[in-house]
Amino acid sequence: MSAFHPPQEDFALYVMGALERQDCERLEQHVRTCAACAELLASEARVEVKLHAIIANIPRPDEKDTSHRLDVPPPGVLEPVVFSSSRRTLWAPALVLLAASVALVFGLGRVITPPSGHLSDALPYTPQEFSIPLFSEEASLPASPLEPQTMMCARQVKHEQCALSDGDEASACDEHSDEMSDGDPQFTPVSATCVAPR
Amino acid sequence: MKTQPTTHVQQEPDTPFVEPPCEQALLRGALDGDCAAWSLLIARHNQRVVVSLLARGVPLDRAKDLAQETWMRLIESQRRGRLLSLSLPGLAIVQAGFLLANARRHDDGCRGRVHAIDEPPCSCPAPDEQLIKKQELHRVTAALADLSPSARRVFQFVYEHPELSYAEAALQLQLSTQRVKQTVCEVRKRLRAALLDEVS
Repeated sequence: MSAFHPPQEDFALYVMGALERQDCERLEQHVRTCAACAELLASEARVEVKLHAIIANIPRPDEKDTSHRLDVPPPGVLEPVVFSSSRRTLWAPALVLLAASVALVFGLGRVITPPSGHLSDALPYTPQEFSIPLFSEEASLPASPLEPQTMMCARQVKHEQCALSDGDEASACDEHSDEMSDGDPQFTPVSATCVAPR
Repeated sequence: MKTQPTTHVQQEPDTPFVEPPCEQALLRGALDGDCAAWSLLIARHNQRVVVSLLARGVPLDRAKDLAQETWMRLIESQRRGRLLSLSLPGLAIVQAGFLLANARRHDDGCRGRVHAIDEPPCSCPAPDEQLIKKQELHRVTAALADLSPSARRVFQFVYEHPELSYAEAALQLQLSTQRVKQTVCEVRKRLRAALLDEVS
């Protein structure tokens, strides 16, 4: 052990990474052989770790933009969802599909059964192409052309096991079919994809 | 206890300053396997890893060895395609903690100590621990509030950007490196006193 101990300030500078290189080496050399200074270094290191943790958690009153803490881009950086087509061409199929869905639910649902058993097969577009822009008025558009079908499965909670994904499975839920058919034995449930989350 | 009369804050020569590479670019490079990026990241963050180990009572040389092993493990993980994201120094500190725990378990095993079957560690701190942390946070916040705005700004900037060296931080703050170091050192002394207030 060397006769002189490094000044206490050097320990703080060392853990801060601010000590000059030759002083660093001298301090390290000393700490290897001096238990008291090794303990002092450990103590400074604990303070340093705590300070880093605390500073990271202190809310800054003058800081309006905290997005860097949350790892989200600041307002305005978010890109809106890009339309795959112009607004007019987006609205047209949406309205047609809305009308078709309403008709399907209230009238044609009792008569027509698509052979494929999947409603989306009969649609002129795939649901993925129908994008709703975020943060705009148009978010109030019909959320999805498949939305009306959720009405057909209004008793989701009760019919947890009721699968409406195809015609065969739909018939597995007798209770559901009875409710929809009002007791009509000729009723064939409309095959549809149940979009409600399970 | 005699002390050496010297205290040298690291002084850097007045050489033309070269713009340091952006941390994000280095992280991306490291994730792509760029050795130069890894070297720069290790140079930036190794000290924090060593200090985190010292704080857990690890002797200096052992801490340096573990820090070295930590970086080797991270690089190996990246080469095997297991490292999908990289956040430093946090990830390195966590990895070093795992290595330390393993080493201690191994050492105890060699000495014949038997560990209980590990219970899953509870991630939430105990209530008294939470209270202590809250008090510490309160004391440090109060101490920070007593500082001058410029000193507070310098200190918070340095501690919130651990990837920057003092020279780089000084450049961003438009102050001299010496001034930044002195300010941080003084503020830290006050915060340390506020932190250790519980002991006295």
